[in-house]
Amino acid sequence: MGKSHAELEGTQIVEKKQPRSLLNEAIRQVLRNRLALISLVVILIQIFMAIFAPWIVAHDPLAQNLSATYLSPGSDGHWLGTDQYGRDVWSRMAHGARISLFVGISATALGLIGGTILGLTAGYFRRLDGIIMRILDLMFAFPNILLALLIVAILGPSIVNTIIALSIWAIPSIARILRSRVLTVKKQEFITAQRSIGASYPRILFKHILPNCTAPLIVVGAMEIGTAILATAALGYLGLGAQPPAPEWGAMVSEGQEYMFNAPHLVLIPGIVIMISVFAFNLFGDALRDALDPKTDINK
Amino acid sequence: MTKFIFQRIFQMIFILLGVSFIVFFSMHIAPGDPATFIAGEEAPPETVEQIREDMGLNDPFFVQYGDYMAGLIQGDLGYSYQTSQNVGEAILLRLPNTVRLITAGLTVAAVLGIAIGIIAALRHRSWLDYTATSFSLLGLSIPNFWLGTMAILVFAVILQWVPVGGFNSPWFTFEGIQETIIPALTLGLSSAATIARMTRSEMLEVLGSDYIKTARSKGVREIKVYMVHALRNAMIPTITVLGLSFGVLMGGTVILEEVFAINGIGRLLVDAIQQRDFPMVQGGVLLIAATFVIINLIVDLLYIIIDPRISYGE
Repeated sequence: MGKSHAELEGTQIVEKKQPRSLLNEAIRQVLRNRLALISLVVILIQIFMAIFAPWIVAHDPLAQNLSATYLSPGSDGHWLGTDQYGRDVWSRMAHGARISLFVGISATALGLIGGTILGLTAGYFRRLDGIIMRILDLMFAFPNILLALLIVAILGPSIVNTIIALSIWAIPSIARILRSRVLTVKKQEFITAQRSIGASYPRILFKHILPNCTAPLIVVGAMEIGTAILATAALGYLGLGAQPPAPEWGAMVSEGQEYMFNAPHLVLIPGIVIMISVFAFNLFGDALRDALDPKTDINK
Repeated sequence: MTKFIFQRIFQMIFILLGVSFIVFFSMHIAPGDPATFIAGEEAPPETVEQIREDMGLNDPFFVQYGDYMAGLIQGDLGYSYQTSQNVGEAILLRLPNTVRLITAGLTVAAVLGIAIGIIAALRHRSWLDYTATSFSLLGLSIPNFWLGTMAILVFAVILQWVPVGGFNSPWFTFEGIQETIIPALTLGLSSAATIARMTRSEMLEVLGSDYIKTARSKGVREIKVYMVHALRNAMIPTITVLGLSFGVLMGGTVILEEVFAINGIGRLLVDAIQQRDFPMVQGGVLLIAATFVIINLIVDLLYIIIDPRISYGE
């Protein structure tokens, strides 16, 4: 028995209303959220600073000028002051944005790739699930920054090793989130249909399952960049990340500590900038989660 | 239930073995020859070779690992390359300071986090709620080493309320508490933020449920509704977060012991990594990971006791 014309039209109208995907809806919702918008602007400013650092500062971040040390913010030619070697703090902050964002984004990207491969495999292939989950359990046994510390202990301190350490550190939580999503998606009918027509594993995994798992990946990605920036600074502070004289924000706090009493701006400025930067990514990630989580009703 | 507990303990032993293997293997593949390190750069090759032989470094990898594990079971973690100190003794000497910092930090995190979470939920969508929610997100974004440095500047140097750094007095004396309070607040803040977020969302979910409406319609006093009916159920997920916070706190001590000049395991570990003192790194990492794994098991078991609805292994 066919549907009446009116019914068919009705369905068509509903379908016409739907082309807006979950992602589009989420972006619209995020843009309506004032806090999320501010955090997005802060993130864009950082990216701008990082890309154009050499062109927006007047001084070389490593150039010393021993006749102009400890200048306080607002001094002539150095609006954020200078440090113990007379290096311009603003140039160091701008170039530091390059290091922080580069490490944060590349560590997150590598972590996402590794976590996606492990999560997809564990979720889809039951035989491999057990062994992958046990490996992840082992990685979870190292609390917090400890796994990154262990990797740095083996490889030695440097920016590249920081990226490797932080990306490996990010893998287990990403893989676990993705696996649980895959377990739900793979039970759906369209996957069974794909299997029944003999689609290959890579096709099913990357063309059909992965696109249905993007929401949690985007959220974790945004949050993970914030975490990675914070961890980069912590490793730099401990002397286990970027090495001096590199203008890394965490290392700047540690260097500035000695001169905290005469020149508090050397500690205050990098600390506040790290905080704002991480806060922006966390806030944005939070807003994305609210927007993408099907549990929070969009129309409420 | 007993089956589940045994299963979990078995799993834990497997993880501990795996962790010890990973740590030992990492130190094994790390560049640098321990024998040359101990003998010194200018030592004659025969001396270096002798040390290699004495230390068992010429043995196959699995023999070395077996020796290490045999020692570990007897409580022997080897000797520091740097100071020739017994690793186990060095760790035991510094353990009380770390335990003190973590216990105090956990207390701050739990009290502050649960209190803020409840207040935010009770005054849902008020300025109090928004302040509490932003505070908790901010707490997750502040670098703890910077917050610690600022706290020293303000409370120790400018106001002179507390000593500048280090744990020098026993725990429960006035001086002891004075020394602990600022490091504990700094350490507990980010975990307090996570706990507050969790408590808030759980309380909101529970407060909207039918049995709360029933309790209210029976005329139960509001305070009793919150404290007895809602909080108890909202606390279940919070316990898991508390368990997870333990990991965050352990990571935090590694950094904050450096900031506050506290002689604990974290500082020992960072110094050992900088000096490439592998037996010390190995001992420190193993201790922290093992503690974390055991605490996770305890949290899992607590979960069953608190929530009788959860049953495992059936």
